[in-house]
Amino acid sequence: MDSRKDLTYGAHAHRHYDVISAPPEGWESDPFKLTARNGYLYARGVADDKGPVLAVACAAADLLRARKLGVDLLFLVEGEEETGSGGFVDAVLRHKVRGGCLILALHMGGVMTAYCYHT
Amino acid sequence: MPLMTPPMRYSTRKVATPPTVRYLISSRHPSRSADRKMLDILVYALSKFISIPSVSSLADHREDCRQAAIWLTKCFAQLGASSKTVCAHSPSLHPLEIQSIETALRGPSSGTQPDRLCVLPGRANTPSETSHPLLRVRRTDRQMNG
Repeated sequence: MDSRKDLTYGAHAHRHYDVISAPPEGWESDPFKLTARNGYLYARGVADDKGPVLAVACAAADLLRARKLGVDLLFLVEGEEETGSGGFVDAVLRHKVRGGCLILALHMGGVMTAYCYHT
Repeated sequence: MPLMTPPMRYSTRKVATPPTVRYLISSRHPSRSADRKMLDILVYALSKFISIPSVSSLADHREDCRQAAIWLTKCFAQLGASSKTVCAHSPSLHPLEIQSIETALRGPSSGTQPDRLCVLPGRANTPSETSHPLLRVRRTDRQMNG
């Protein structure tokens, strides 16, 4: 079976690039400088959610390069997750109104599409 | 300056490796060099991404949030995605007034034929609208959400 010809669905990654504030208390290093310590990486957003955003993107890129990305992958990365996602619906609706890209992405195999919205 | 090209002096050997990824770069892993390369890209990109303080709850960081969105859009484009920054109107952001901004960054024109990762220098990221209006923000002294 050729998976590319039988694609009927895609994968959707809803993530966010914003972070909460980082008061100096409790930090042993600059929260906005990636720091390796004791085998771990420390920084504001490294686990929620900047690290996962890039980890998924890099993994998908690896699959894309190897032509093994069997589904369409749509990223929607928002910048308001920590404050209630007030513009999220607007971003999605406006994206649909503009048309084309989302539909196209769902009908082609191995396409990685990313939408990063800001306000 | 290319966004995703690690400088020559960069080496993950200087960075303590998290246990969760040790297996990936161990000699037992079948495709060690390829994964090591992607791991280098990931850590390098993350260090750049982290350095943008995109604190959404603070009005003083509104521009940082915008910069983070733009940076991430370029990053996705270099990873081979068709990538785009869109602006949303957010009721929670009043009294900020957002006009419009849209910068479309195109990935490979044919997603079904990706023959290389676009992380090489010299890749053109061409805005679809070169004369797009810049984000116009009318600030007030009131800080958003603390």
